[in-house]
Amino acid sequence: MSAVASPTDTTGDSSVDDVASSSAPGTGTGTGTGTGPGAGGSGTGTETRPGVGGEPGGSGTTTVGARATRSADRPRRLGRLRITSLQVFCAVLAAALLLQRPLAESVDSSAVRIAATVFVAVCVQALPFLVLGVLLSGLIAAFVSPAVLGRLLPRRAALAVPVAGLAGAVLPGCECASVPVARRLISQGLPDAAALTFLLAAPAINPVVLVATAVAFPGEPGMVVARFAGSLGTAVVMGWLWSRFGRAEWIAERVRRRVHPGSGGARWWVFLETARHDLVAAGGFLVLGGLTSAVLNVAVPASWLAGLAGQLVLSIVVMALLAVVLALCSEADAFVAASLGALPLLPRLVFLVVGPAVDVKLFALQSGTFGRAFAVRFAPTTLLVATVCGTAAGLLALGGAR
Amino acid sequence: MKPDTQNVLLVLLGGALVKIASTDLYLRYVKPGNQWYLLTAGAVILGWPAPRCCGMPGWPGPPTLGAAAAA
Repeated sequence: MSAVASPTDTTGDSSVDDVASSSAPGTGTGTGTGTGPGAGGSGTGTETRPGVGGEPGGSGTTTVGARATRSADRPRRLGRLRITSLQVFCAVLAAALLLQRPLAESVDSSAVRIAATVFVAVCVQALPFLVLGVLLSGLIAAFVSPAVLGRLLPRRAALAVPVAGLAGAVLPGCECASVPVARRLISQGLPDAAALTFLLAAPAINPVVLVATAVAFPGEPGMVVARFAGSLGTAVVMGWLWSRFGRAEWIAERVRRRVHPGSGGARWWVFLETARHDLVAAGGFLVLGGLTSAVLNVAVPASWLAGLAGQLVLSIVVMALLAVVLALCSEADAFVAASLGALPLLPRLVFLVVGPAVDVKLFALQSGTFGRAFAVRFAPTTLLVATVCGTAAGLLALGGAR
Repeated sequence: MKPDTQNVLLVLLGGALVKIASTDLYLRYVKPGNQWYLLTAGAVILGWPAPRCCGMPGWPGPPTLGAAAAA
């Protein structure tokens, strides 16, 4: 029983809500899921949905009346039954539709317009890769058994970490894709250090990103080599650091909840439900990260960059911080770095190594996926390690500070 | 968030992506080469709720309650 119900364990509240609302007479959203297989579910679902969204007052009060005596000792649950997330969502949507014009007119300035464009761009750019990532994470949850993963990796953590880092080269996506994948790898029993190495390596050293870097810097093959070495170095060093100093309890307990996929069609449901849950969860944090990036983009003046050309150390620090703030997709950042022609290559390389490893959007995604205790330790350390590894790789592969 | 609410959200999101990608609007946000990524992602997100809403022949019910009851 727990076998197939477990993907909804990850949705936590929602399964509870389902049961709760299908037992309530007035709120029928849960009945669609409750009736289970086939078209029956769809019928009930669509018929009752207007009732829930359309007349919250009416059906809500009768529901409360009928259940008041039974639920008097559970006021919180009663409150949750009355206002479901669907109703809140519909209300927000209706308000947005009604207030669209006055809101848009009241904040019509160029800064807001730039911020809005940056926000939409960060989200739109990341979504295809996030979808790819959650599809893969769903497949891992449904079809990859822990035993297979155990056989693929060397037993010793010191060896497993570099192997996991090199394995990152096969996931053609950006950093948003690797977060849900790493989460499912941990839940399927991969050692934390190896999964985190994969998380850092995958977005930076896959062929798509390396080709994009080569295209963006024609005539500078050293940039591709340095980017590969710097990013792989960051991932492996972080993996070793984690296996030496990391504590399992920093990662939220829900991440380790293993999905037991059952067989046949049930596996496909596990795939669909896990992937959808990951998409909605990660999507929420993507929106948060996009908002942060948009605000910082507008708030940080562009003139800061102009005075940096002559100061190498300062420009490395600033470019590392800029990578964190801008939250670019790892498949697009090479072109942005190439456009900053006033700066030497080394700070731009640091920008390319830091960006896929840590930025505000990734921080939001990681704290949503692995928990805040993890993110506040992992992100700053990664920033430090990535800056150092990027600088070292640049000095070696580019032949000094150029 | 309930699965139903998530599904409504996904339909809106997928629809918005497809709408952006099928006009020139997407050029404001991404490179021209990314149009097909956006269209595919939009279509996938848009179609996500379909198995849950319509059911799949030969599959057991959604795992929330249907499969738990069957197990």
